[in-house]
Amino acid sequence: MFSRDVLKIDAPAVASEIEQAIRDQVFGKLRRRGAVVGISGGIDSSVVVTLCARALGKDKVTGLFMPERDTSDDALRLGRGLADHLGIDAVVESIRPALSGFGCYARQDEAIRMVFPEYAEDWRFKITLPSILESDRLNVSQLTVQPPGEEPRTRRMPLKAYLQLVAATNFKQRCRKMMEYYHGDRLNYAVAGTPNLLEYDQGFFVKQGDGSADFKPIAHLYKTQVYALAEYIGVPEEIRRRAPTTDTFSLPQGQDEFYFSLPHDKMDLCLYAHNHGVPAAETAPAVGITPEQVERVYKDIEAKRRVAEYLHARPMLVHDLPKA
Amino acid sequence: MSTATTESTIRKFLVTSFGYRGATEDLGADVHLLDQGILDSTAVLEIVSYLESDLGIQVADEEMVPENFGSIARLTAYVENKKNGAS
Repeated sequence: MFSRDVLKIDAPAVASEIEQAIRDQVFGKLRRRGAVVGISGGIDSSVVVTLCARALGKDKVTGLFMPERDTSDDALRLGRGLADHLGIDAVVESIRPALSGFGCYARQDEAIRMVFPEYAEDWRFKITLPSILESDRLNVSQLTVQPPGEEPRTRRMPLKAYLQLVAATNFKQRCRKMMEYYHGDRLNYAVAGTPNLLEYDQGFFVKQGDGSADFKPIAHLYKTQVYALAEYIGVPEEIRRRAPTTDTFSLPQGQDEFYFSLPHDKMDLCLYAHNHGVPAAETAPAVGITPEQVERVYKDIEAKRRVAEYLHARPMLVHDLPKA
Repeated sequence: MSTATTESTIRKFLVTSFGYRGATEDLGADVHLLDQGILDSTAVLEIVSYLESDLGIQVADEEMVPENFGSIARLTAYVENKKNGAS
């Protein structure tokens, strides 16, 4: 019978395998002295930086904190605590001036005002999707804004506003990656990517932003497994207990509101089941939703994979080249 | 506008807007536009914008479902129903 047990891992063995791979890849294949890891205060980057420190040595890992205007208050505090705990070198690089220079915030605000003309700079905002559990509504994004001291307001986003808002906020992930490569080049270090399997498979990353890296050591692990590994390698409990966020918008936002159709533990099970051909009727009791809802999630997984094809695609050439 | 005209109008819009995604003149009316990758969520927003601005139809959030947007035939029926005030 299908159950949550399918996601159980032998954490010591998984950690050992990944640490060996990190050493082989960073020193052997990439021929770099160490690794740079952007630390968000979330579970994935915390696990990756910890694995890198265990694999390469704490003196060969540099952690970067890259806050901007809309970064949550606790992200930097949690990240600093982790870096201190690991004893690695850590650098704070505010990307706010760079984002202002690119016009990120002005373009972001302009897009929001296409939907809410009254939007002011002290309002907070986020993009959300309708719940897949309530109906089979298509994944059409909505914008939620909240003036200080008032209730949130939500409206559907016209195409132009949606595309501009996403394009503007994508500056954030791309600026962070530029900064990671600056330090990578400066130190002759490789740059680590932090996606888990759910994010990698479903395209929850920005092309040439957080999707870009020299190695991605947890891209084969479901998020549930990342949490199990985090506990084994000693990631602080406060980070393990923190709900996953996008760290992109000024209103608190869960990843399941913005991209995934379900909370990560349920989403992991559905993705695993879909990948292994488990019928919806068998998956449903383990996830705690109906077979019809599982079918919707399966369809959503396929739809997101189609979008992710572009994100994963390497630059295309007219002819294949030898040794390319 | 007759049903045949509505279908033709929608087909023309799809071919013009999503030809690059595989929408062709001879696309079957029952071909699933979402499963075939001809439409994605961004494309749905574009269709909604077209229906509202060019065809004068107000699309409610809860109407944005595969039942209404899944094929040319379904889109045609949806537009016809909206014009007749049925939904």
